[in-house]
Amino acid sequence: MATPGLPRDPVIEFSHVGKTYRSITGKSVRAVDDFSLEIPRGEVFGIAGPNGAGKSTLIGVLLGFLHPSDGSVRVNGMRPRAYIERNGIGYLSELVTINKRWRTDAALTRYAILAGAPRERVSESVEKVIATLGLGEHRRKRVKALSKGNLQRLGLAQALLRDEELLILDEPTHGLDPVWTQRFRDIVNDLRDPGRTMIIASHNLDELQRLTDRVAIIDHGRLQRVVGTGSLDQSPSGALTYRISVASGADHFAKAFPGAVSTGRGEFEVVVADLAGLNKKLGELMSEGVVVAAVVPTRSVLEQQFREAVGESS
Amino acid sequence: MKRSQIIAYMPWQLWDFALDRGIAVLFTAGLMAMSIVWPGHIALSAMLPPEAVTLELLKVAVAQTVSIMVVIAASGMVANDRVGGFYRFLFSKPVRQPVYYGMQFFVTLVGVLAIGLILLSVFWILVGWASPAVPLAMIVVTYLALGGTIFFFSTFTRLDWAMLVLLWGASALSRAIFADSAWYQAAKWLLPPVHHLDKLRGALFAGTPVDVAGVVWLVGYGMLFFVAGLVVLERKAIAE
Repeated sequence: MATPGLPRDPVIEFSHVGKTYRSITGKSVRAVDDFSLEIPRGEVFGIAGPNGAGKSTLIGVLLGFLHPSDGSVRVNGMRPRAYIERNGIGYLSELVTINKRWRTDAALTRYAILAGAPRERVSESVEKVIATLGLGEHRRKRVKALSKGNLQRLGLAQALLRDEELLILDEPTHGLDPVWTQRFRDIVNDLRDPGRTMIIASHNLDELQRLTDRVAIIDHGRLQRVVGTGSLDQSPSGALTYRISVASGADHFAKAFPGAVSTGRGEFEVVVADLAGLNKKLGELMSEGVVVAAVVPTRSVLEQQFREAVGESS
Repeated sequence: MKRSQIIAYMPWQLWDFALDRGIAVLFTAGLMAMSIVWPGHIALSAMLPPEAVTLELLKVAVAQTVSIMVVIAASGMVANDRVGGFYRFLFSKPVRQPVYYGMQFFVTLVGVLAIGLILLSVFWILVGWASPAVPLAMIVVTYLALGGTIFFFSTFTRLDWAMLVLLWGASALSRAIFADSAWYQAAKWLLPPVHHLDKLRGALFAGTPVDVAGVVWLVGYGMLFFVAGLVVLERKAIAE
């Protein structure tokens, strides 16, 4: 049960974690290297990285499904398996792997029993997540008959069966249509609680920007940087790129921004050092009669940070 | 994992066994037994009294099918969840892996006994009445001996059944060929005591005294592997 009002102590601690996979032929692959990070209680934390960056390995180590080759992981001060065996967590894996013969409602009943729901509350817990995830019309279907999106919703439903203090969601919107992607965002926002920590691993940077407080960008198994998403952090290079549409006064605009690249129909791509400078210049232009129709960042701050971090590490 | 959770989940494990393995065990053992019992019934009926025919056919059927039933039932117990990735959701719940699979091991025994009773019922209808005590006792002993060993292999390889066949086959072969050699006498304590299964079956069907030490060795061998499997599950990360 999530408890509101708890201090923001670190609930997850990675300390110099390394993981090397070794094949029986002696080949080894370093999947995670010297990874240290603390995630405080109550935070919604994102993990981003390109394919093969080590995200799934990190999550495997965090769940105790893999042992780290170096360093240690602590969840609430305990070894991951010890924590999970005592408390359980809500976990959605990137691949939703459920016995294909199981029926949707039977699968949820099984997981509810294993999650420790009292016998008289099992049915109530199952009905609640079936309603939340809109699985009512699929409840009698076998897992093998579910579409990708419905299977993903079933995976999410089993993660939400209990009011867990720790939720780990790996690519949670993979396969969801836009309606259910938005519904998922609402669910995550409803689950925000000072006593609950959520980790969301995703390729979808826009999603992470919307949902999380901070995002760890990892590449080649290493933590490249941690980006706050609550404020518009500047990228380390200081450069931000915007697409600016001008309804009238395009010539004037081009003179004010000598480096602007025209993309046609009064639209320009402009690289600026900071937001304050951009606002000042646009203010001056507008006072001179230039009509600005739109100012859109070509990349979100997170995306920009991601590109820089991944670029630097490659 | 609380005791109430374990008890509440047992019927689901039994149901999974019935669908995933039980049908295969029933049909395989049923067809094997039928291929022995039917022609044997016709051949022996002319030579022996009905009670003797029933006993002989049951003896042969048990000898031919019980080990196969156990191998099909117990193989992949852990490995299938690992290979299929089913462990991810199961063990994100407050569940200890050794408890879950230990429970699965004994639920599977219940399942195999149930299938044994179904096959015996068919035998009673087609051939005649014979006490179920000996066949069921042979299922229990064979399951604990072979099943315990295969359970251990299943904790780290999907080729658990192949490892079992290799180990038990090597033991039977080395005993047949090198029984008198000094190295076999030294190594036999490490090898599975396959011959005690035959001795036990013979004694039970004949109604002669059972070699208790041999049965303890047989069952103890399998249980040692079973406990080793539980230790592996406790110590080894399941996705490694």
